[in-house]
Amino acid sequence: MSDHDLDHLLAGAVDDVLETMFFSETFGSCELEPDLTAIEAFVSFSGAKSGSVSVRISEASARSLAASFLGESEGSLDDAPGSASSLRTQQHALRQHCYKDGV
Amino acid sequence: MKELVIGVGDGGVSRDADSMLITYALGSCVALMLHDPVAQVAGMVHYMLPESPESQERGNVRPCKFADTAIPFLLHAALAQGADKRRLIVFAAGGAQVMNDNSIFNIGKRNCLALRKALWKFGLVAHAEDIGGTVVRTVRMQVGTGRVWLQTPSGERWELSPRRLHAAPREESPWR
Amino acid sequence: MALNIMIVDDSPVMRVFLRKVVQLTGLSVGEYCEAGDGEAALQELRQRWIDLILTDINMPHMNGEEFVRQLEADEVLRDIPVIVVSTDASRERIDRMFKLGARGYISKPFQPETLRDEVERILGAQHV
Repeated sequence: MSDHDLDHLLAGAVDDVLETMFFSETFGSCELEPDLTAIEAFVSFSGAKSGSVSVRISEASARSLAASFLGESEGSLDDAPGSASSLRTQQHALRQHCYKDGV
Repeated sequence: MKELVIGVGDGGVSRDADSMLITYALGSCVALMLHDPVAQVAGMVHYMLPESPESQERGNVRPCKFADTAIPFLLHAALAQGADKRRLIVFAAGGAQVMNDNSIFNIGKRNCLALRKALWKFGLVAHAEDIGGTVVRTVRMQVGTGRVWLQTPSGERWELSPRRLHAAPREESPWR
Repeated sequence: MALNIMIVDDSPVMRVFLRKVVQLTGLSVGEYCEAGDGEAALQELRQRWIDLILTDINMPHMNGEEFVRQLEADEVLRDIPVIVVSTDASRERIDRMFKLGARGYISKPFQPETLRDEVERILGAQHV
């Protein structure tokens, strides 16, 4: 598998998780903003290919995703724990995709 | 049978068992339908976009245009007519990717995601749905029975039945 | 008749999510019981009657596989239906969990209605 194919596979896995459990659509990758205060989740994998996939988003986006996941309004969420836990859950789901596709 | 037409960006509820709720030409738009078989309350909304504007503008827009306001609107309207949320049968149709939508912002897909997000938020799950794809759909819901039929521009018709997400065998529909 | 449901997952947010999915089934639920790992779950099970267990696999102290193994080894607890909800979707794991006694398996990511349907399938069969 080429690196390009792997990138495509991982991007697809991220899309699948975000759409299925967070009801959110992605529009492709983007450059990281160096000054952005962000929450980051990453999953490492090893095997025929090794590396990691990370999802890095602003706190506001994390809050929005957490609200979507829990089926709540953003205003009703507690602060950091909800967002961070939501990302951990997302991390678990990403790990599933890495194993499932034999990477 | 009386026809109650639900227009684009519109919604309504009926308790008239002899009526049929209809909405036409669902392209990227989504029709959400609710039916309470005991109270015989039926409702339909035809929304166009996933999210309503920021709250300060919300007073100026129709709630049925957007998924996040259309779905609670329909739910509350049905409950106000005597429906019980625990009895509600939920149908959804539409959300197609229309031919002239060449942007990366696939409105049909976004409307489908918004549907599922809103249903989850309000504690509802679709019992039957015919969403996505590329076909434009017209939808009819019989108020008394809660039966739902779909039709395409080519004339193909089928009933959307709960728990059966694929096309059902053709049955005689109560209109010509 | 109200049913008692146990949710076993080390993620508090996932436990909230699963509880909400169970509410979607329309089941009459008497009590929700939650545990962060298999060991805590077994302690709870010695104190109350549970009608359905949803369990993760990857958990600290005692993982889901060992938890289900211990349930199956207990004459009373083995009759409680177990649905596994896990990120692991490998064929080997799924087969192993069913061999150990799980009645259902849902791999993440999943739509709420998928788990709802599985709960209804298993409890429906239970009551036939």
